[in-house]
Amino acid sequence: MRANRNWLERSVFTGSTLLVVAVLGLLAVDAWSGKDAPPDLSIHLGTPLKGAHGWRVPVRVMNQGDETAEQVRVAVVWTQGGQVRERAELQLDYVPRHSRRNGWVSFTQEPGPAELKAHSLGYATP
Amino acid sequence: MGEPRPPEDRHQAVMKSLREYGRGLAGGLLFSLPLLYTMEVWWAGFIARPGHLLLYLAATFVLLLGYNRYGGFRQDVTWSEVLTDSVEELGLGLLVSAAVLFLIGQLTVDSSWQEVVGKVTVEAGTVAIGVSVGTAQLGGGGGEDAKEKKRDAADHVPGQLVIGFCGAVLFASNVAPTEEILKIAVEDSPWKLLGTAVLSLLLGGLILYHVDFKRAHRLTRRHVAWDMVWGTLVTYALALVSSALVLWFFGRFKDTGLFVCVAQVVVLGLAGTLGASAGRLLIQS
Repeated sequence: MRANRNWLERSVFTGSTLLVVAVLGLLAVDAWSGKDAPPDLSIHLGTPLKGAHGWRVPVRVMNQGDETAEQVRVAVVWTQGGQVRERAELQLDYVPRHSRRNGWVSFTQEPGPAELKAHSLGYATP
Repeated sequence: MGEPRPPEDRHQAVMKSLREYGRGLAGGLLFSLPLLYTMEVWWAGFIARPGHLLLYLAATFVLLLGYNRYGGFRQDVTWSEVLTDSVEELGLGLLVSAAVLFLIGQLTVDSSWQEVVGKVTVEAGTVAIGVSVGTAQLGGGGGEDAKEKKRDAADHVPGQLVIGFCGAVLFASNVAPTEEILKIAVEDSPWKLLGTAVLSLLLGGLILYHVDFKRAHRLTRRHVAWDMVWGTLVTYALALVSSALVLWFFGRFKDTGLFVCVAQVVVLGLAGTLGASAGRLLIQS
C-alpha cells in the first residue's frame, strides 16, 4: 500500500489491527491462565423421544478440562428395580477443551428418565 | 498524509485498492482451501496449546514480513509499508478463515471460545500467506522495469532464503497435518527414505538450475559449479528445517522415536523442496 492511503485502506488496516490484537489477547489470556488439567467429562441426558424403531435419548458431553479428549466412549445404562434392562453406547471422535458435543443413544423400549445413568468409559489424550 | 486529491482520483484509488484486496482474497483461498477442508487441521486448532498458537502467529507474521519485503513487486518498499501490509494480510487471513470455517460447520454454538480461536488461528496462517502471494502475483504486474529490478534482487541472498522458506512452509503445511505422512514414514524402508532424500535434492537442483522455465537461468548464476551445489544444498536444508517446524507444530514429534521423527521430516521434505525451489521461481517471476 502507498503512504497516501484512502479510506478503504485505512479501514481495512484498522479492522485488521483490531482483529489481530483481539486474537493475540485471547490467546495470551488463555496461555497466561496456564491451567493444564486433564480432560474432565460431564454427561447430561435429555428426554427420551419416540422414533420409528424404539426410543432415542439425546446425550450432551461437556469437557471442563484444559485438554482435549479423543475417542470418547459413553455408556448409558437403563436400570429398573435394580435390574439392568438395556445398555447403550456412544462414541465421539473429539470433545475439545471447554467445549460440548452432542449425540444420541437408542433403546428398544421407553426408558423412564430417572432410570437412566450415563458415564464415560474412557478416552485418549492427543 | 499527502496532499488532498480530487474526488475522481480518490475514487480510482479506492477501486485500485479494492482490486488489490480482491486479488489477495482470491490468492488466500487458492492456497489454503485444501487446509480449510482438512479435518486434521481443525483438530490441531483445539489440540494445540495457546502458547504454541502464539508462536505460530508470530512465525507467520515473520514470514509475511519477509515475503512482503523480498517477494513483492517493488524493491523500494519501506519497512513501515511492509509492516502495515503484513498486519492487513494477517487480519484478512483471520477473517477469511473464520468465514469459511463457519460456512463448513466447524464453528458452532457448542464450540468454546478457545476452540473457535484455535481453529481460526491455525487456518489463518496459511490464508494470510496466500493473501500475500495472491496480492503480489495474481494479475497486477509492475511492468518490465519492476521485473528487471526483481531479477537483480534475485541475487540477494537473504531475500532468496526468505522466499525459499515461504514457499517451503506453504507447500509443506498443505500435507503435514495429514495422517499419511506418519504412515509413509513408519512403513517405508530406510533405503526408500534415502531415495526420497536423493530425489528431493535432485529435484531441487533440477528446478533451480536446469529447467529453463520462467527464465530460471537469469535467477540463478548457473555458470559456477560451486554455486549450483551450494544452492541445491541450501534449498534442501531450508525444506528440511521448514518441514521439521511444521511437523513439530502439528504435534507429530510428541512421544515419537528419533528415527520416525527424522523419517517424517524426510517424507515431508520432498514437498518442502518443491515449495522452496519452485516457490522461489514462481513467486519471483
